[in-house]
Amino acid sequence: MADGLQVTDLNAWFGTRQVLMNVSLRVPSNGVTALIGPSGCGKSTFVRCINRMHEVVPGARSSGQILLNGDDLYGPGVDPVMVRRRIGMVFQKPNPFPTMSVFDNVAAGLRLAGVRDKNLLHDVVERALRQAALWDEVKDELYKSGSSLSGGQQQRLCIARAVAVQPEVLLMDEPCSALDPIATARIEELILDLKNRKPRTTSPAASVRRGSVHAAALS
Amino acid sequence: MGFLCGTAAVLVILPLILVFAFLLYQGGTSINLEFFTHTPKPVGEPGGGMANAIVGTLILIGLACGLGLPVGILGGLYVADSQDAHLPSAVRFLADVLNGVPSIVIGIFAYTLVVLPMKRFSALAGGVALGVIMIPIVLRTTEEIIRLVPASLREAGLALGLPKWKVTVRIVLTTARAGITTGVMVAIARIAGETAPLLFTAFGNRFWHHGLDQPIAALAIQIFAYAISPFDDWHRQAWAGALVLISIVFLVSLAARLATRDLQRQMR
Repeated sequence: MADGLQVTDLNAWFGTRQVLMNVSLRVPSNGVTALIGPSGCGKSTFVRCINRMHEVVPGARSSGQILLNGDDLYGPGVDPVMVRRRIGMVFQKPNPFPTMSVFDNVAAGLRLAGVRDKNLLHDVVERALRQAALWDEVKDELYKSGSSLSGGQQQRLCIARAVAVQPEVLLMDEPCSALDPIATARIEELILDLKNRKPRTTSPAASVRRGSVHAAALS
Repeated sequence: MGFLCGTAAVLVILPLILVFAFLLYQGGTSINLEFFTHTPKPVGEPGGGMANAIVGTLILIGLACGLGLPVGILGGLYVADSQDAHLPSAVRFLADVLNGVPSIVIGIFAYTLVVLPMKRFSALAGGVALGVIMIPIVLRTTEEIIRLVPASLREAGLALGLPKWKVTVRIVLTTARAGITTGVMVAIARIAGETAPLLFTAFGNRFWHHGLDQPIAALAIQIFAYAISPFDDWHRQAWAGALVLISIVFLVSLAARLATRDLQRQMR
């Protein structure tokens, strides 16, 4: 079976408007893949089809086949919740949970899935924050509200939250479009870092639109 | 313009201040320890208090919350979340209508629903009447606050691989709880002073109640009964009762504000 993501003949609609037409793409594992395209060409929709977030929007539907390491993500009986456990996502605008502290934000995925072990949670949170290059900045303020961080820090917090549950794929939908150039550079560095440091078979896919220079550096 | 707005703002709080000052003037002298620890004395005997009515009002508020909060909050969640084309707007419209139904009519409803089958007035019947009054207020505030929770938070939860109900309970409701608490307090303040629906449900009681299936005293009923009596002593006690009732509402609102203040600061 082929490793990585295999997208075949993907179509997606919002109501009657078709936004993706027969898209096929192979994304190799252990790499960073960037998608580039003009505004409104369907990059976000494509990425949201991969973790089945597209169908959350009222009236949205899709057809086609997406395989992750050989498993059909749209197969009969496949629970979208389980797909999203395997495929994490970072959104365009930082969206930390405002009522949770930095620690709770990163721990949210595991804790709400039922993990109670305090030591384990602490280890996971520290590792995730280190992976997201945020640990040194927040290690003394883990119990401060997540929304008190700066925009760039908030986005790295969201990356930490996504990698804490150890997804096989990390989707990033223009993670830097709301950030300044310095924060952008940090996160792009971080994306390359994630690729090198991940211990398991992973295939991070990133959707980036920051002009061809940045995207080329990533691909 | 600024002067007009300032005047209007003062006019908004002026009635409250005047009412409170007048109550303090009329009822303040009758407030003493006995008022809080004793039941009413028979006519002609001086002294006595409204301890049973104070406790009764709190019990009635508790019973009303037991009915009004689950139905109101869950209903509000449904209306805010539902993809259905017609049912949410129908529920919303009917909730607004229910909110406008005179409270005495809701009292008759509770009388038919609870008092007639049980064949007696009871605290439960009073709780049902007040709970029904709470439902539309809690439902509409919950709905409006839930709508304010950004969709991006919901998506963040779903993208973490959490089932929809967990996202709703642990993320959406948690984020909205300060606002929902405010709505609940508004509803409690509204029902705490309701008199008409209690007249033929809770009925009132000059003694301590003996169980929730028995008539129970409430401050509002007691104030009404004492205010229309011909005795000066009872008039003074009615003023004092009104003062206590307003203070309870004030304290409940204040406690809710303090409890949710930190949360609201986080929301910003």
